[in-house]
Amino acid sequence: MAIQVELDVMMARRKIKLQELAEKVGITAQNLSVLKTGKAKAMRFSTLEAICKVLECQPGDILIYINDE
Amino acid sequence: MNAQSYQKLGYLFFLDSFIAKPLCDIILTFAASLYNAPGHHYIAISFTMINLESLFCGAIIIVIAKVMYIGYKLQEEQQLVI
Repeated sequence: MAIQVELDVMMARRKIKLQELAEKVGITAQNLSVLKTGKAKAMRFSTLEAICKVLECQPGDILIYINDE
Repeated sequence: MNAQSYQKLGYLFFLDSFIAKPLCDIILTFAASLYNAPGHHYIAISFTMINLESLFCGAIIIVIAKVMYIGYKLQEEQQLVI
């Protein structure tokens, strides 16, 4: 997929674990894992907002566009 | 998987309507006239309400299978929306 989720990088920088982040964001750890591994097909703005709020980052820090060509 | 099976079942109803039932009619009429005098054997092909019933059932089942398949795709997509 052209959009890559660099959530694990930001989580490592903020030293936060998956389970803790999931609880603070308000989604299940399973869903967060789906997002982290790049298997998600879509993301709600509310989820993105919550993640950015917890990790104190910008959407561009966790979502990166890579040209497949 | 289930949706595909139902779709195949629908197509089987179509086959029944267009092939199986007319074939049965042909064999039945020929068998009934088997002991007639030579030159007086008959075969008959007919398309009656019974065939239309199979056709209608097949169509309904195929529509249901399509709806099931679309529902499955929507659910699969929804599951991957975080």
